[in-house]
Order: sequence, then C-alpha cells, then structure tokens
Amino acid sequence: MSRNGRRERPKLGDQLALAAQQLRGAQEGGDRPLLRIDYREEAAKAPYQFDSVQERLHRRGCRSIPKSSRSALYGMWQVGPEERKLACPQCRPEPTKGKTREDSFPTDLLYGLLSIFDQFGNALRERGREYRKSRQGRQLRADLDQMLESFGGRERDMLDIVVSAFDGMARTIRDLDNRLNGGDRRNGSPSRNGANGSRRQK
Amino acid sequence: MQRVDELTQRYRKKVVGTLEPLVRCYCPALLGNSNNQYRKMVELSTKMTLVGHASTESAGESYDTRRRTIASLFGGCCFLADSFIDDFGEKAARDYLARFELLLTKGWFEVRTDREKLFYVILARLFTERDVLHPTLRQAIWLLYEAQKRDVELRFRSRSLRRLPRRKQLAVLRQCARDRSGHAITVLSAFLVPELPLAYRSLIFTAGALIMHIDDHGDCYADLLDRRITYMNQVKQPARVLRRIFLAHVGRIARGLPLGAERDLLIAFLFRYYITRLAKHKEQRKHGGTAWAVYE
Repeated sequence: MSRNGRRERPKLGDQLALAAQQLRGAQEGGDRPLLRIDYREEAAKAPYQFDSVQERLHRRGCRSIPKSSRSALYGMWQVGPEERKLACPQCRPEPTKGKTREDSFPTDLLYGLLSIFDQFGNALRERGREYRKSRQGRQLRADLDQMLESFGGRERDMLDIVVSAFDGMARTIRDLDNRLNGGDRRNGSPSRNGANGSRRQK
Repeated sequence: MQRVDELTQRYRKKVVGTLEPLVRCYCPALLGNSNNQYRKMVELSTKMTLVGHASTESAGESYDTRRRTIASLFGGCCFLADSFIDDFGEKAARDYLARFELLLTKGWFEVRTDREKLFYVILARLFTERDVLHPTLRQAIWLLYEAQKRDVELRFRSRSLRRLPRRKQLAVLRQCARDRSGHAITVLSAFLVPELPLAYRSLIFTAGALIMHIDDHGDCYADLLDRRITYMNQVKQPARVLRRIFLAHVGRIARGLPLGAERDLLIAFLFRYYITRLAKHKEQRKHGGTAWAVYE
C-alpha cells in the first residue's frame, strides 16, 4: 500500500521476472539453464589469478598463492601495464596484448537469442497465439499492416533482405549446433523443429 | 565525520524511496514487523549506499542516481538474504542456500513466500541495472555464496570446528568473516564500477573484511545467544583484537587509496562504524543480546 493507504502497483519488469520463473515447467528438454551466473568453469581456466587479500597478481596455479587466499581468488584474462606493480615476483605475470574474451560477444548474443526461442518455443508460441487474438494483438496487426502499406518498393525489399538474412543465419547456426551436438537430432532425439514444422510435445 | 552524518541522512531518504514501494507491493508484512526488520533493512541499505559512494568516487567515477539506486537495492538484497540464513533455523537456511545455488547455476528460483518474492524482485531489478554477466561480478557473486555456505556449515556443524586446535579454529573463523563481507563489498563495487582497478579492489575487500569484524563485535551477545560462533566472540580480548584489526586495515586503506575526500569519507565511515559498534557491544552486554535493536 502507498502512503495514503492504497496498494502499490507492481511494475511490468517485476512481473516479467516473476513470470520467467514459471517458464521452468514449460521448457523443452528438461531442466535447462535460464541464466548461468556461476563462472567457476571459466575462472578456473583463466590465465591469471588475482589474490584480493594479498593484493597480488599471479599466473594460474602459482605455488606462492597462500592457502588462506584460495577462497578469495579472481580469474583474470588480461593484465594491464598499470597492474605490473601487483605482479607476483615468483611467477611474474606480464601485461597482455591482443584478443580479449569479449570478441565473441555478438555471436554469444545471437546464440542467446536463439536459445531462448529453442528452449521456450512452445510457451512463446502459445503466448503468441493468445496475444494475436487479444485486442492489443489485433491493434498491433492493424498497425503493422498500415506500416507495410506505407512502405515503398525499396523499403519492402530492404525488409525482405533483413528477414531472410536473419532466417538464414538462424538456420545456419541451428544446423551447426546440431552437428556439434552429435548430428541430426531428429534421428531419435527430441526434434528442435519437426518435419511438419511444429514442435514435438514431450 | 560531519560529511558521513549528512550523507547518511540523505541516503536514508533515498533508500526509503527505492525500497519502501517494493516492500509495500510485495511484502507489506515486513513494514509492520514487530522486530523492526524494515528499519534494519533501511539502515543496512543506507550503510551500503554510503560505502558505495566512497568506492565509486575513489575509482574516479561519479556517484549518480543510477549507482545510488543500485547500492540501495543491493542493501535490501543483502538484508533479506541474511535473514533467510539467520532467522528461520537450520532447515530454512540450508533450503535457501540450495535454491540460491540453483539460481546461480541455472537461473531458476522457486518463490515460496512474500519475503522471497520481494527478494527475487529486488534481485531482478539489480540484475537489469548492470550487466550481471561481467566476469568479475559473476565471480564475486559466486564467491560470496560460497562464503555464506561455509558460514552456515560452521554454525550448524560447530563440532567439527571444535576438534581443530584453537589457533586453527580462530583462523577458520577469521577467514570466514573476511570472505563474507569482503566478497559482499566486492559484489557491490562490481555492480557500481565493473572495471574497478585491481589495487582498489583489494582495498575495498579489506574494508569489507573490517566491516564484518566490527559487525560481529557489535552482535557478539546476540550471536552467542543464538549459539553462533564468530571470530570476534571467540577471541579472549575482543575489544583489543578489534582495535588491532581496525588500525591495520584502516592503515592499509589509507596508504593504498589516493589522497582525497573519497578516501577520507571511507575512513570516516569505518571509524564511525567502529565507535558505534563498540558502544553497541557494551550496551548489549548490559541488557543481554537482542539482534533486533536498530542501530544506525
């Protein structure tokens, strides 16, 4: 309730966050992650480790890292020249040059987007059907039709190119992902997109 | 010290403005709680907002509205997470830790109560304010979780700790306190300034460790009443030990941070916190430990 006794209205973002948790039962392929914050696997492979207790930067696995600091080590991928003064005198980590971990960001983002469609495809489709029938959905459809009508030939061509490029990219990544995961999943394992275009219910 | 007082007043209002609507919306029972839990939440969050100010400006960044909101949300989050661990018994603490681990490893969190709903909504807002997938932030969150888990194990499995030689027992307890608050303040700093220079990160960790020891000294009798052992309630001369720790930690911070108002603000805050918790310790010795008294 607010100061004058009325209950506060929940914000859309909060409702979305809460609704996302209800998707757990709606996903395909078991209890797959929604978002992984745990970074142990990557941190364990990082080339450098920062001891935040002793203020010391080490190469991974340096023997002079005190036992009491093990619970306060942070994996590092780059060392800047200004961090040289924190370098361990035993393992002597050197400032790094070249590619950073962040170079794969756009690809990761695209994979992330596709994984959401893949994981929650059924739930999204159901919501889409409901939304299409709703008043807002019908309004959106009318707005989109109006917008498309206002497009000239050149704009329509541009839109076609963008849509087909995205579609092609999605298909390529999906095929690649299938191959990396041990071949065609349609052969005996859950289909991501069945032959008739609909998803198989689990 | 005057600046600490002024900022405390100002940030308390900011914290109330951020957290109160959320509490009213998702867990209104907290506002009428007889144990003053909402007020304690506001005080913890105000403290976090002030520490956030010092760490942000020490790194040369401006402590803008967004950052103040992040710190307020983080304080609310810490209060609720601590309450799940401290206030509802062993089973509830373990259950919360298991579900929080699932949240960190898979993103799923089963919301069962209004308090948990409030916690999750605050967490979700915090995660949308900053790229939660930043490597430092992800590591700090996980290390904080591990420190909390170790703390709970020590609390409920104190027999295995008692088997160790006394010196080793104290080392384990001290390290546990250091990590709990050291990683908590690192999470806060990573939310505020993701690219915080390494040298500052270590000093912020030091400040966090000091805050935990001061906190544990203030809560000494309440913890003993709850049969919770900490480094500060196990050492023989706690006031003397705390003084030594305070001087060593503050000395390191003073030498490490560049001269300026931000360094002075952090040190003034730590000094004020130290003084008020010494007073709290004395007061609680007279009246018996109660965890629910509200202290600024």
